[in-house]
Amino acid sequence: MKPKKIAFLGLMLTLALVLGYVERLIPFNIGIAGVKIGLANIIVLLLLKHYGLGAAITVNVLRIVIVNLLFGGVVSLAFSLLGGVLSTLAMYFMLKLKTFGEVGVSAVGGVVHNLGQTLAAALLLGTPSVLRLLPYLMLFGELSGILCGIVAKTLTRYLNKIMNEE
Amino acid sequence: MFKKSDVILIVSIFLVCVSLAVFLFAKGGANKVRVTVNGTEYATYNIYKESEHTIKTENGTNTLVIENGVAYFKNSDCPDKTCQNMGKIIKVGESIVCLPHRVVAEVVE
Repeated sequence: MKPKKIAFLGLMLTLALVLGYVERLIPFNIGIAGVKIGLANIIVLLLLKHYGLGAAITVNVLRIVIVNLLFGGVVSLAFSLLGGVLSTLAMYFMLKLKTFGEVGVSAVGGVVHNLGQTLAAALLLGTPSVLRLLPYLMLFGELSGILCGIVAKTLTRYLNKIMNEE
Repeated sequence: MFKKSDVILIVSIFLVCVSLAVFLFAKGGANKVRVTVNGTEYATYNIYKESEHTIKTENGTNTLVIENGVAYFKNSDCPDKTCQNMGKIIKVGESIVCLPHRVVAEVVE
């Protein structure tokens, strides 16, 4: 791995962490506990597109571990990891199809993220009634995914110069 | 910004979510209140029928009130009165627990 790539990935990890923190400052509530916009998804999408699955998963897993060590706990770590890894894989396969643009890929990522977390919650807590929230959570995941996709696409224009200098 | 395939994808996910929501909603939400004493079922009441029930257990007595799809404990002769302060239950899965009497009221489908 080139030093420049290492430095860039480190920078992206920091950015993802800061985005997660900024997100906590936005007063935002749709009535279901723990629902977030998932701005860090922007970084994961950019990395997937330019550095592939390995870099994206590594940065995302590191981000989730660090965030949960700082603010969360072991249980929320398990939930976040499942959602994070699943959505990264889903976005990877969507990108591989080459049929969809950033926005579509990101929307699927958001849906899969919430799907994974809800299933994990139902399994871990043993309460299938959580599944009742699934349609709303999926819809919200889609909306936040679209938002992140638009931001990622806009950013690509500016980041292309840095990332293609490899 | 949006590819045509993106729009199709987004709209179809949206439709899946909406139909899932409609399906779950049509399946019916809360309509019964189940009372269990010491882990065994004591009684099940219709949550839309206004009623008042006295639940007698070997540890004490609770009064459960059901009105307009809402259930709550109006009275309990236990010392801590936690169940009275736990408020009203409406949604499936919500419950009120009276620990001293081992009485649990929960909303079920």
